[in-house]
Amino acid sequence: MKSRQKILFLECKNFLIGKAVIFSAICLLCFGVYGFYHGKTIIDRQQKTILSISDIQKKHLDQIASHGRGKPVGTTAYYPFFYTFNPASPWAKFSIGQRDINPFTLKVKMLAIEGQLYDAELTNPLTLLVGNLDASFVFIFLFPLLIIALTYNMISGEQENGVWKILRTSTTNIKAAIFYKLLVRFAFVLTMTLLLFFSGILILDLPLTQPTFQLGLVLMVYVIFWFSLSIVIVSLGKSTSFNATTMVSIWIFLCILFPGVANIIVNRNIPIPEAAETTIKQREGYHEKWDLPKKPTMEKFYAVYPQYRKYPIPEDQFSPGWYYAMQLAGDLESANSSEVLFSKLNQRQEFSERLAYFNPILTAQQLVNKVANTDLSNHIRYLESVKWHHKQIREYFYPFIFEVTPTEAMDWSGYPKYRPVTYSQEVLSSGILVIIIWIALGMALSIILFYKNFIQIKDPQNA
Amino acid sequence: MLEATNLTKRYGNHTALNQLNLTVEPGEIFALLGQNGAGKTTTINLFLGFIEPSEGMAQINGVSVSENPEEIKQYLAYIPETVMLYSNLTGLENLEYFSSLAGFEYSKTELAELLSTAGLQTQAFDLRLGGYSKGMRQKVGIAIAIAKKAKVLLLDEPTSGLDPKASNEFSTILKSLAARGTAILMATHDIFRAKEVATRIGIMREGCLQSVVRASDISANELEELYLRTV
Amino acid sequence: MNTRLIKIIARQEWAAFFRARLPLGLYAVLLSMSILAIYIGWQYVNNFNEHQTEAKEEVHDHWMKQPDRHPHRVAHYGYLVFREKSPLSFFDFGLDSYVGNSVFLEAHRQNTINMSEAGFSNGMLRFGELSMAVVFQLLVPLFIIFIGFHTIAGLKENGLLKILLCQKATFRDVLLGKAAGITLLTWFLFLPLLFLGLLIGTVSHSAGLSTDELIRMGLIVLSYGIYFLIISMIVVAVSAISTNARNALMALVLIWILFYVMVPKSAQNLGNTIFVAPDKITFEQGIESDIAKVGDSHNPNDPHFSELKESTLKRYGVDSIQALPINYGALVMQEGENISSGIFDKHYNQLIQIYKSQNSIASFLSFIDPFLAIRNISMNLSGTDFESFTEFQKQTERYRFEKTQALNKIHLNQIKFKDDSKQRVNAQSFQQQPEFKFQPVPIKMSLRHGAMGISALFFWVLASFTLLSFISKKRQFQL
Repeated sequence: MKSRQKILFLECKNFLIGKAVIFSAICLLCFGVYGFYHGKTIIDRQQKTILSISDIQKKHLDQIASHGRGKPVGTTAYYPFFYTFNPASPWAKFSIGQRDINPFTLKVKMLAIEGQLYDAELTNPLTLLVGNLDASFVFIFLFPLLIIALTYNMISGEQENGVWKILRTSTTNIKAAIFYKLLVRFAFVLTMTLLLFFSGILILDLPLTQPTFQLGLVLMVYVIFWFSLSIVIVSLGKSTSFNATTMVSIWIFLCILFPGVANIIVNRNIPIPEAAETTIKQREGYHEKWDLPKKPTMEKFYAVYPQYRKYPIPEDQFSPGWYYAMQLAGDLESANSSEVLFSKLNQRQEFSERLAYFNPILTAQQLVNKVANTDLSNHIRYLESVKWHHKQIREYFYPFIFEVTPTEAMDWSGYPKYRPVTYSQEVLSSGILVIIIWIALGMALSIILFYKNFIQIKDPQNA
Repeated sequence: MLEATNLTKRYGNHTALNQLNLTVEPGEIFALLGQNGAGKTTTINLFLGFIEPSEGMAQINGVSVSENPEEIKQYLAYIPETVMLYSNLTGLENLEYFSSLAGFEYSKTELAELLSTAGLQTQAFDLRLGGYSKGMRQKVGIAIAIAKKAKVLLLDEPTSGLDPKASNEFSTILKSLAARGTAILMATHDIFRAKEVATRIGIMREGCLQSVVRASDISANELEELYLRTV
Repeated sequence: MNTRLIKIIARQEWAAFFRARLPLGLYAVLLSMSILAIYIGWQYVNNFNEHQTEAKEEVHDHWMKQPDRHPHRVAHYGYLVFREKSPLSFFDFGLDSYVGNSVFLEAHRQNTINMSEAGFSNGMLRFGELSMAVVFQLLVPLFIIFIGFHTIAGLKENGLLKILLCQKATFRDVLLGKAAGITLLTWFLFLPLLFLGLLIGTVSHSAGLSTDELIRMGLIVLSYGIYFLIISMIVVAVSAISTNARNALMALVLIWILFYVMVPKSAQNLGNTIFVAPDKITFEQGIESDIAKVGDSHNPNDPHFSELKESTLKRYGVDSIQALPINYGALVMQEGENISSGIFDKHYNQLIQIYKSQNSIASFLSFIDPFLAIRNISMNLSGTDFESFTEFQKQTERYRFEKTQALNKIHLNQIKFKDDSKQRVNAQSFQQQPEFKFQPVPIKMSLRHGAMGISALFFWVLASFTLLSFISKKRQFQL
C-alpha cells in the first residue's frame, strides 16, 4: 500500500512540475474567470434593461392616456406599446447561448401580432459572428485543449526519451504504471473542472438547485468524454507528433467542421420560406380588408368573439371596432404560415439534437444551453408568451373599444400583466446518455489498444 | 543465470541474430563486441522480452523470457545507452519511484545509501535530474538496478559518451556489482573498456557469435587484433 | 544571400512534399472540403437569392395591384424590402447569417431589419460556418503548419542543418529557401483553386462578369497569396527557433489556437465591454425623448408646430387651415417625418459609430493576429462585411423616407383637408415610384474600409521577413 502511495505521489509531482501543465492550467483558469465576468456583464446588462421596463411602460401609458383625453379608447388604443421581456435564468450567465442574437425584449401594439413578433434586437453583427467568450465556451472549447495538452505525450514522450524502457524493465506490472499515469492526469482534469465550476458557482452566484447540479453533471461527463478520447489516441502507441496532430485535428473536426456541415444539412433539410411568407400574408390579409366590404371581416372577428356582434359597425365609415377586426383578420390569415414556422423551428431543434448524437461537443453545448434556457426552444416559448400577452391585451381593450369609452374613463393600468416565461426544467438524460455511450466506447477501445500496444507488446519500435 | 539457446531473430529475409548460444553466470560480466548491426542490441532486446525470438529460447534464472515475460522482469534491470529518467524529479525521487514500481520499499536513508553505492555524490541526491551529466544519470540507473536486487543487469553501450574518468568509475561499480553475484551482459563498442571490466568477451558479426574469449587470457592488443580479424 | 542556393533549397521542399504521402492526403482532404464548401455556398446563395427575388416580386406585385387608396394608408401599407446576398458571398459568408434579411418600410417608423438566419438557428451556427473562406483562413494555415513544422527543426534534429551550413549556404539562405519553397507550394496548391472557384461560382449564377467583380476576385486571390506567404514565414521562423520538430509543432499549434480562437474572441468581447452599445429599448427611448424636445405633432400647444401653422397661414395669406390650398394634415405629417427621420439618422449613426469602435479593437489587433486582417479584408471584398450591412440599412431608410415623402406630397396636393380620410387617389399616382435597388459598396470604399487590414498584411510581410533575417543572424538557433 505504502509503495503505491509513493508511486502516485511521485507521479503527481513529476506531472505537476512540468511547465506546460502549470502554464496551460493557469491560462485556462484565467480564461474561465474572464468567461464568468463576460457572461455576468452581458446578462446583467440585459437584466438591467428588463428592470427598467416597468417604469418605461408606466410613463409611456401615462403619456398616451393624457394625449388621448377627450378621444374614445378606440382611437387611443392604436398608440400604446406593451412591453414584454424574456428574463434570463441564473444559468444564462454561464451560457449566453442565443440570448445575444434573439431579442430579450419585445414591445407589441394591439395591431396584428405577426408583423411585430420578429423584430430584431440591435446588436453588432460582428460580435455575434465572433461569439461569446463565456463559461460554456471555456468548458466546451478550451477544456478539451487542456486535456490534449496533458495527455498527448503521456507515454510517447517517455518512449522518445528512453525512460519507458527502464520503466518497462523496472516493474512486473506495467499495467499499474500506466494506470497511475492515467489516474494522476484524470484527477488533475477533474480537479480543474470542479475548481472552475465551483468558482463559477461563486462568481456567478448560481443557486444550489437541481439545474446547477445538472450543469455540473453535463460538464463532468463532457470532460470525461474528452479524456477518454485522448486516451484512445494515446493507446494507439504512436509518436508524440502523431498524437498531437491527431488530437488537434479531431478537436478541429468536432468543434468547427462537423457543426459547420451539420448546420448546412439542417438548413437544407428544413428550409424556412415561411419566415418571409408570414410577414407578407399578414400585411396583405390586413390591408386588403380596407377595400373590401366590412361585413365579411366582421364575421371573421365574431367567429372568435361573438359577444361583440351586438355593437353596430357602420358599413360606410371608419370605426375602431372594424379596424381591430381587420388587424385580427390579418393574423388569422397568416396563422397557418406562422404555425408552420414555429413547428419548423421545433423541427430544426429536434433534427440538430439527433445530429448531435454523433458529436458530443454539440450535445454538450445543447445540454448546457438547455439548462441555461438560452436555446432556440426558450426563444420560441418567449414568442408564444408574447402572442399570449398580445391576445390578453386585445381582449382587455375590446369592450372599451366597442363601448366607445372615453380614454380618461378607462383604467390604463388595469390591463393583464405580462407573464414572462418561467424557467423550464429540461430533461437531459438522453443527451447525457449519448455522451456516456461515447465514453464507454472510448474506454473499451483504449483498454484493448493499451493491451495490444503497451502491455503485451512485442514490437521493437515501442520497446 | 542468463542463458540463450539457439536464439534466432529474423526480420523477413534478414537474420538479425543467428543461433546464439550463450550463458552468463552470476558474478560474471559478459561483454558483446561487434559492429553496428551485428546483433548485440537484438540479443539484449530478446533477453528483455521486448521482442519475440523466431527460434530458440532466452532464459533468465531458468525461466523462459517469451513464455513468462512478466516473471523475468523481477530478476533483471536494464540501462539503455542514454539514460533519460524523469528530469523534473531529483535523483533520489527517481530511485524511489522506480524501486516502488518494482515493489520495494526503502526509507530515505536506504535510498541515499543505494545512490552512494552506485557512486553518486551526496550533493547531487536532491538536485533535479535535468541538471545531471550522463555519468550521473547512469549511476542513478545502476542504483535502480541495485535497489530492485536484480540478478541480471543488461546494458546497452553504457560507456559511450562518458569521459575517461566517468567511464573508469563506471567499470569499478560494475565490478562491485558482479562481485555481489549479479550476472551482467553488456553490449559495447569499447574494446579496451570491455577488456578491463568483463570476465568474458564475445565478438559478433552478422548475427553470429564468432568467438568468445576470457578477458584474463588475452591482452588488449590481442583482443583488438582478434576483433578486427573477426569483423 | 545566394539566389541559386535559395532556389535549390526551395525546390527540395517541393520534391519532399510530392513524395510524402501524408501531406498529399491532407491536401486531398482540404481540396474536397474547399470544393464542398464552395458548392454548398454557391447553392445556398442561389437559393436564398431566388427566394428573396420571389418575395420581392410578390411584394412588388401587391404594390402595383393596389386599388385606389388614400395616400396615407398606402404609407402604412408600406413596403417590404428583401436583402439579397452579394455575388461573392458564396465564397465568404461573413456576417450574412447574423444580419436581418427583410425590413418593413412604413410611415413614421424605422423598423429593424428582421429575420436573420441566426435567429432561426439553434446554436449550431455559433460554432462557425463552413465556407471556402473559412477553409482558406483557418485550415490552409493548419496545412502549412503540418507540412512545415519540421522544415528546419527536423534538419537540426538529424544534424543535416550543420551539413547544409558547411556547404556554401548561409543560415539565411536556408531559411529563405524553405520559406520560399513552402509559400510557392501553397500558392500552387491553393491559389488557382481559389481563383477558379471564384470565377466559376460567379459566372454560373450571374449572366456575365463585371469588371468590379473581376477586380474583387483578383484582390481576394492577391490578399490570400500574401496571407499564405506570412503564415509560411511564421512557420519557418518557429521551426527555426525550436530545438526539435516536436516543440515546433506544439508551438505552432498553440499559435494557431491563439490566432484563430483566442485573440479574435477576446478582441471582440473586449471591444464590447469598452464601448457599450445601447440595446433597443435604450436606443428607442433616446430617439423618443429627442423628438419630444423638438416638437410633438400630437400636442396642439406644441410651440414648434404652432409656429409651423402660423408661418404656413402667413405664406398663403389665409387665416385658417381649412382655407389653405394644400392639405395641412399632410404638411404636419411630413414635418413630423422630417424631424423623426433626422433624429433617427443621428442616433443610428451614433450607434454605428459605437459598433465601429467595438470592431476597431479587432482591426488594430490585425497587427498582432494576421487572421483578423485577412478575415476583414475577405469580408470587405466579398461584400459581406459590416459596412455592406450598414449601407443596406441606410439605403432602405433613405428609400423609406423618400417613399413616404412622395406619398405625403400626394396627400398634400390631391387630398382635401375636409373629410380627409374619406378620399382616395388614383392608384397610378403611387405606382410610379422607383423600385428599391441596393447600391453595393463600391470597390474603392471596400478597400478604404479594409485599409487597416491591408496595411496589417504588409506589416506582417515586413515583420516576418525581418524576423527570419534576425533569426538567421543568431548562432544559437543553428545548433
